[in-house]
Amino acid sequence: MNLRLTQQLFTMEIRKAFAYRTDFWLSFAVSTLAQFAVAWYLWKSIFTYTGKTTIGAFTFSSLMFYYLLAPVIARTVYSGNFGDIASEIYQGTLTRYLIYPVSFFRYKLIVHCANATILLTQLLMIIAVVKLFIPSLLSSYHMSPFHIVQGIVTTLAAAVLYFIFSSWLQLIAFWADQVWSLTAIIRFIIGLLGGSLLPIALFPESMQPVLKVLPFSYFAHFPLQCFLGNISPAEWITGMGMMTLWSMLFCGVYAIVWHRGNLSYTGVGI
Amino acid sequence: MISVTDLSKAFYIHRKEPGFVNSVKSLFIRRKTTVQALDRVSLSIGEGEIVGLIGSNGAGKTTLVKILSGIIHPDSGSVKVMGYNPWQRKNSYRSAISLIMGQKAQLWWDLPAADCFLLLREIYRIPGKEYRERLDFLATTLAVTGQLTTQIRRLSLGERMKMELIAALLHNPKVVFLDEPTIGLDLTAQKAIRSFILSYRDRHRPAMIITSHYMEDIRSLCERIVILRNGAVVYDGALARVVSDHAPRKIIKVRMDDAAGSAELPDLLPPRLGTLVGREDKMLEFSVERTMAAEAATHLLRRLPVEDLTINEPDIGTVIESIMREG
Repeated sequence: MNLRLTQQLFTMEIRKAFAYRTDFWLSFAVSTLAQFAVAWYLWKSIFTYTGKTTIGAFTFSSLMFYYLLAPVIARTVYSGNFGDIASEIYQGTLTRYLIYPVSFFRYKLIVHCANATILLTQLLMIIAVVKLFIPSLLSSYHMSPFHIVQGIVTTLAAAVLYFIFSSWLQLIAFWADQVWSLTAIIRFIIGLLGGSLLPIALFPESMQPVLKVLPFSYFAHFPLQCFLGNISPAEWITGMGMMTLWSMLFCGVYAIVWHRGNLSYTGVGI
Repeated sequence: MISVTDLSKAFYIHRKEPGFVNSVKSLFIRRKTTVQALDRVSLSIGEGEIVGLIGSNGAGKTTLVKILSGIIHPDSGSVKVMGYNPWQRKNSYRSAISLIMGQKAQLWWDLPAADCFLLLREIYRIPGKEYRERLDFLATTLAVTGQLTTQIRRLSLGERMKMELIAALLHNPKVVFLDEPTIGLDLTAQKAIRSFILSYRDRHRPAMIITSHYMEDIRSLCERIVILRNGAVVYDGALARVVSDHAPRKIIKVRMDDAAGSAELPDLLPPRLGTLVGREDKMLEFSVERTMAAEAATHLLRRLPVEDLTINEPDIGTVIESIMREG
């Protein structure tokens, strides 16, 4: 795919996002604040009830900053609708990508990355607001400009990994028309084992090495730890290597499923 | 340009009987049936030719278009379009074809048409100068220059269809597939689109396949038609010849002068010449053997106080409909 097309697709997604600016700000404010409020009341009760000042390695304020960032990072990595590709197949709109001289995979990947970039700006806005107005939430972390850059790079890499992972799963729509329940289950598993619903540090120690090998923790937990300054250079290189390996594996699976699925495609709706 | 030989395609469809019990049953057992969408279809189409693909719903028209455009894979037979196998979906092939689907929007719903065209310019790698010239020509000809900056979803159906046409033709395709290009449009928009398609064909000479249920589309645009029935070709030839080849009878319409009044008429035609098929006041309508039309007319002129007499071909739509039904 040529550079000009990539640029055009990228800016097109940004134009689309800005065309619905109410939705842009509303989804940002509501989803961030709602999830943060739930976490606040839940953990406030737990800390008060147990009388502890730390749970795992978290103080209440460091846990709150975790819950402020984790859902936004997850949202950035997921970048919108999980079922987008499945619905293109189900509704037959995949047809237009088969007619155009472009790769469907690359086209959708660029769109996904464009959306991730838009959501990444929301993430950076939250960090800036916290740094300026509630610095106490950051007292347990060593968040430097370097860590922010490292976090940005890792979040975008996680968005690519997530795209490849979710794409081949959605290709199941070639055979099973509706894959909504499958996508809901996968999202829940990713949320749970990926660190956006519960910090991975709070899982039993025996599970932690397993979770580090599975791809799920690289979707939200790993980029978040980069932002928080908890990842050493060696850990970062290992983590990025794991993400590359998983990406290559999922790319291979995608290619096989795509080829087989195309033989079953009937182009419904026209 | 397009060559199709013995092309076949079957679909497997799940059947579910209506009702709650059958819905529960279908969770465990599903009945599958095979629908033969195309059955050993062969045809060829040359440059600059507009061919009308006609058939009732489920006859296989859209399946044929989907295979030719590379969307779906055939079960057997061979297809060559400009020397390419469409199913391989080579970029050079996809850059040279176009598919317009009247029932399915292809443009991006949330964007203005101009933005969609910019994206297509990059997809097809159209040089800037050519892009501007073509867009200007297409938008002016279709009279939608003023609507280019409007979001696609806010356009009327006719305007959206015109934008779809522009999007499909910006890259000057050598082969164009038009699936119901005028569906749902008012008469003025239908006319505008037909006239545009003809002028585009004259200017660029692409091979075009049109599927449509509107007889007027076929009459105005196609010199040749292919009729499909149950997935098989039952007629492939000139539109002008379909009536003479498939309608063995002609219609003679007679208007009698005032002197005839409403009196009872004796047997007007011997059975070997034809039969009376309709009478309304002073108008009579006879169905006659094609080869006997002149003799029947002479006979009627002698026997009746005729004010006017015409010999007509049956309606082309009716003939095509009967071929679609009976072959």
